[in-house]
Amino acid sequence: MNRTRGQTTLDFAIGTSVFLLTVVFVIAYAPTLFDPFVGGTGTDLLVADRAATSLSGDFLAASTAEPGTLSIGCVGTFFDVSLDEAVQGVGCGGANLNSFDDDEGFSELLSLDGRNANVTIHELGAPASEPVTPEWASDPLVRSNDDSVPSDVAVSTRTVSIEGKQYRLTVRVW
Amino acid sequence: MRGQAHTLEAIIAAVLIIGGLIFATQATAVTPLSASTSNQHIENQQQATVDGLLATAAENGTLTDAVLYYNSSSGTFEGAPAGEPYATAPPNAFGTALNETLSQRQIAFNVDVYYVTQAGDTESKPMVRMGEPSDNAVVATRAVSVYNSSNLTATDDRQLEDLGGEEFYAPNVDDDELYNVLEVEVTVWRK
Repeated sequence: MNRTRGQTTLDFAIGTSVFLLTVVFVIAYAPTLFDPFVGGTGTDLLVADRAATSLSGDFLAASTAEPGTLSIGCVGTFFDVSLDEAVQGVGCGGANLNSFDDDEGFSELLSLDGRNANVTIHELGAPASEPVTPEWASDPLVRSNDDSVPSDVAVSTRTVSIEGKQYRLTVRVW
Repeated sequence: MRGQAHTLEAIIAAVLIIGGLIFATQATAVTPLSASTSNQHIENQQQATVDGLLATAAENGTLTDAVLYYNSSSGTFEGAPAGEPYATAPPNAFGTALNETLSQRQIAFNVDVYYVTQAGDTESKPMVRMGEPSDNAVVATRAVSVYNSSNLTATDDRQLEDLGGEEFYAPNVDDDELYNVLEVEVTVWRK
């Protein structure tokens, strides 16, 4: 080893490894900085929340003074199920949900603006994939403008009651 | 000399890169819609769900039944350890709803009942205590009125007006039919 060069090789090795370690750390760490901002589900969350609020507090509610207490007539009209004789004839005051009975109306009612949504009423302890079929309804209480629900959706839930029984209303938007 | 220069150069370069990263981190803001377990959307959903739970429980009467599910001899709610609140959901219809809505989804909750005292102050009686709420806890409240003719709903089913002074946690604060106005407060947070 040349006497005048001292420990240049060793110093160079240390210097290079310090530099390379830093570069590796930055490359590994930098992408995680942007994790919170990717996905862009921000607006879907707002749409889902707004849809759940207007459904439970206005469109389906027996009275806007009591959000969460749903009118059986409105629920029947919105989910397009035939009601049992015992509760038939209960109208849906105020809101004219009949004019929103197709997919276009569904989208317009919930202001989906081109998104897909699934509205389900299910038991408090059951998952949203298992809509409830109360004894007074002919079919499960679920409505959607697209049959397949992807796994990555914006979810919004409310606790509602129909005829004194508590259910969970889940709106999924994608 | 040249040796130290190599090391020093590497360290300066590293400091520059780290400095750039720190600057970039400081420049980006974490917004309420950023994804995390303390997401504002999740808090809103919990609040709306519990609000609805209280509203619907008040509507079908189970909330009133739950605040009257009291055992005067043990000085607490029926089925709880003497003098203590429940550690889980109460064993009644309101408790079943709390269980299905919250416990099954790994959400913890405390329930307190606030009442008016003779002096006009507000005091609380804990009904469920699951622990200290986290910083991201949300609260929902609902008031229910109890009357002189309201019956306790536990094994003891006397009317409130027949109870002695200390036998029910809230005092009778009204000369007329009203007994007291109880405010049920539910605090929820993710476990």
